[in-house]
Amino acid sequence: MTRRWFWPSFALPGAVWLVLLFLVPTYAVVAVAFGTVDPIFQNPVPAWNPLDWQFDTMRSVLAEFEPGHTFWIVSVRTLAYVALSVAGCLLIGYPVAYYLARHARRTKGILLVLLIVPFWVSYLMRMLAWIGLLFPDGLVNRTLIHLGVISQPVGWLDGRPSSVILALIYGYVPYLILPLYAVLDRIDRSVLEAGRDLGASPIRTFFHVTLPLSRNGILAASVLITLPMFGDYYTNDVISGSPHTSMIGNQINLYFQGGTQKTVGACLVIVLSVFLALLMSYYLWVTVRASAETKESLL
Amino acid sequence: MHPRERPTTRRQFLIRAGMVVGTLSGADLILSACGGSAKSAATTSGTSGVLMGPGGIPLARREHPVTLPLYADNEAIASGLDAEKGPLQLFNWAAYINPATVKKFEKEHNVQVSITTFENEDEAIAKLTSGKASFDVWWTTVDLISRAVAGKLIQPLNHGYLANLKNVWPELQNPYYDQHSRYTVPYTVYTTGIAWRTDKVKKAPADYANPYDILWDSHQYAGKVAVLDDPREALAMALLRRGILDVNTEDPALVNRAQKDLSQLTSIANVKVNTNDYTDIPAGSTYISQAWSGDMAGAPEYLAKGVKPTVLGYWRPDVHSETQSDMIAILRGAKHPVLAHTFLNFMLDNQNGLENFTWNGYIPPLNSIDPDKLVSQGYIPANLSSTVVRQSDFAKGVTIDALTTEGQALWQNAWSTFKAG
Amino acid sequence: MRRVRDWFANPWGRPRALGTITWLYMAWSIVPVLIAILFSFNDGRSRSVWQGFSTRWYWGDPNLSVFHDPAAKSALEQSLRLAGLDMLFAVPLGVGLAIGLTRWRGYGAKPVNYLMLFPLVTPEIVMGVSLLLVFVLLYGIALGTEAQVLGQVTFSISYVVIIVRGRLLSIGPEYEEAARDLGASPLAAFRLVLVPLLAPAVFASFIVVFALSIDDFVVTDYLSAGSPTQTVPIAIYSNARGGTTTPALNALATVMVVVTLLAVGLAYFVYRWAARSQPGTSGRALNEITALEV
Repeated sequence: MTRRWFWPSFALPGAVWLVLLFLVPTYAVVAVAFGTVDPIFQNPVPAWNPLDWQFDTMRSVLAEFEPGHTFWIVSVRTLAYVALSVAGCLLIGYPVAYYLARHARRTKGILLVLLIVPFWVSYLMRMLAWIGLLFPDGLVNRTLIHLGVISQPVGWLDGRPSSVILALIYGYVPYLILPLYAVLDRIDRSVLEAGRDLGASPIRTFFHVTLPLSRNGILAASVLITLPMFGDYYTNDVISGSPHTSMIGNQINLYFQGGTQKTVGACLVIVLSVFLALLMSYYLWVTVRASAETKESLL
Repeated sequence: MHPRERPTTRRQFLIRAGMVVGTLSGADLILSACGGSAKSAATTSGTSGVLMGPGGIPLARREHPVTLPLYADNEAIASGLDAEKGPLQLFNWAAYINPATVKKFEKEHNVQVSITTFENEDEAIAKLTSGKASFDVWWTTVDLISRAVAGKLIQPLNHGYLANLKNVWPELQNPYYDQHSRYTVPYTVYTTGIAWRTDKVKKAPADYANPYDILWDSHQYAGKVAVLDDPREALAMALLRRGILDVNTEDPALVNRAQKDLSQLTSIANVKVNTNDYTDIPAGSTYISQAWSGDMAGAPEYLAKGVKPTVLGYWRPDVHSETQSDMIAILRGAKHPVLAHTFLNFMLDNQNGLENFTWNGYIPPLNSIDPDKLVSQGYIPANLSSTVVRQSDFAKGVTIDALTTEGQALWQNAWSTFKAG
Repeated sequence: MRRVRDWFANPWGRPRALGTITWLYMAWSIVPVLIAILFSFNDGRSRSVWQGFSTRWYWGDPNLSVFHDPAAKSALEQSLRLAGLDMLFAVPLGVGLAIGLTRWRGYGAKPVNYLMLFPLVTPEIVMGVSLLLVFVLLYGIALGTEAQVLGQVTFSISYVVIIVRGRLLSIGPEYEEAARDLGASPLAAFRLVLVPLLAPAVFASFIVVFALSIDDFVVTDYLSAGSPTQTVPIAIYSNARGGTTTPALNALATVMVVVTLLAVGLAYFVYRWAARSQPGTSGRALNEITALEV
């Protein structure tokens, strides 16, 4: 018999690393958010002991989340951008993943390679590519003028929400398609055949069999891109230089890299993390409930 | 923020064949005394109404000059010591000193010089307060000085090593923020104004009753308008536009109104917020921008081939223009303090200051530098002569100074609200 | 009408609409990058108007080309340095964690599993901020290369675990048990049976970590110490909108892409060669890599 500590000991270095460099830093954010600042240089003084926590900064930050105030405006805008972008990613990504999983045979290899290639191209380089195209004298404007769609060059990079959303979609859709494809690939063909055998038309088969079966995959893949997208600030920074399109990540970045109020930044990070944790919990609850239902229906 | 807070490197802004700096001798005209000298009168502080900064040091204002305190545990070095062997460690903004000037110092004093750069003030403070830094010379700004002194980051200077201090404008030999130059020597002076493309924009700032309104009247140039990415600068401009000269006000009503004014720019012109004025205006991707004078002095360098410098314009008010000065200090833990003093003295030399300017675009406050000569000798194009900062400009200007802790939070929050769109 | 609909929606036939959409997507996904690469060979300074072919931005221009610009070279070096160090630490830690988690029967397994999963769904800015604070305020670690490596390893471990764990689950315990039955000690069974079986997955995780590190921006930026520790993504972020940015930036990005693709291509072929006789593989290496087991 293998000793009980044999296998866990493999996990020990990694676990210790994650505790020291993931768990403890998380606590450090809390300690800073509920801590104070040194009076001379405004460096944050973290309050490691929960008894020393003070909540004034957090209160003033939460006050700015009330409707109409600064953080409220940014949060609503961020929610809108993320929702639209994820919807766009799904609209584009699902058909592609579906086609790859269910249909492409001879071309599947090539398509998979093409699908994976964006992973090896840096996110920022892909944004750089679009900046080159979106310049006033760039290819997008020139093509649109040539086709007669517009008559004057459009300033795509001048703080337009549409540009930012399209950039987010472009940036994140590869991260959606791959997991989605992995899930769709596993759907058993015979289940779909059964649907056809029982008389369902192709469209009904899709809506009543394929889509429900892939629902978990859709949710998982969406979560995989939604959560990081909430913290995105660099897409907005490179595609639009304007406050008009700033997201909550930009505000956090402002407080950390451009200001003397790191405690406020830490409070914002906590608010964002709590929100994302709630999202995550909802997702987990939905999937657990779904798998419980499937189990019940199978019994 | 600071003109140097940008990630790209600057290139030499004047590369004209045959432009030998040495033609300008040190015996040039001394600028005539100008008005406004009452502001540099050495009145002592301590009257009511003076704000206190951290560590019990009053916040310096032009009307309340401050003599920074000396501490028993932070004394200046003794006089008459020999210079150390080096290497001298400089801690400076990125691309803010002419590499050729540094090399000249290395040659003259037979030492090595090593430069570490920072991108913004917070980064600098973080490094210096972390206790791990070991630099000798540090470039700093007006709003950081009282904190640096209270925190005992910088050491008092021994003027025995600083003979060239007499080259500096009298009012900056005894500046209001550091009377008697106890801790700092000046490095450059600059103004913040508005830059625009004369060929793309119909009305110049001077054509408006309130020249700052060029930014607020810019809806036809939507997407091509920018303000500086600096919490103090942009809001200060909104205040000056309303005629409020106290750009260090801590009155929430005034600051919040300034923020609302700035936010109007977002809806009027989709304003951009960056510090790329020095490249975007020459490139034509921005037509109107808040800008620093040194940036625009160097802007012709970034014009495309064949485009004349006359397309560039820079405006700042004659009176109550927002002027700033940067300074150099010696860190308390400096391992080469005598060498550091020698370096400061070197930078105050007329010739070296001018050489530095040709690379930098930012004018050192030296008496020997004649602004009119700068234009006539082609250092600066005639249409950009407003980028020059004269002694009188500095005397008649307003400066961004340090704030109290509450004031800083107020301004930071207003800025964050503006940046939230 | 019905025939047209069927022509579109037949799941067993050839769905032309879906196929068209897929190929259009591939083009939309890749062509902009190809154009950016093309512009890195632009003769002029524009990144949007083609002015002729030239390699000046790679080595021709004496000041601004990637070969001659010290900032560009430093960014490239730093990117590669961080990637190498990241691989060096993240893969062993992650492999160990994957093995331990899969075989662990005790109470600690579940929390460690969650701990491992969290970095995957944490926004990078949250990680960057938390690491910055803890390095400066608690651990007293100076920002710079060391800090950047520590940060990158932290989020890379989870990816390694996922890749290796998928492989472990499909291998199953039978081979080791057979070795144990034949008299091998646990350590010997591990060394002689498990390790060779895992080699392809470990190799794949090296490559994934390499790509993750090369592309990383937020954590690397937050933990950087100024220009000497700038990486290529940071250089791109800082200069992307600049009015004076030349195609040299495109060139720098292209060099990075080529290096990454070469590494990945090499790894893919080595993986296929190593996995050709492995049990439990379908022989279609692509399927292995894309079958993610979270």
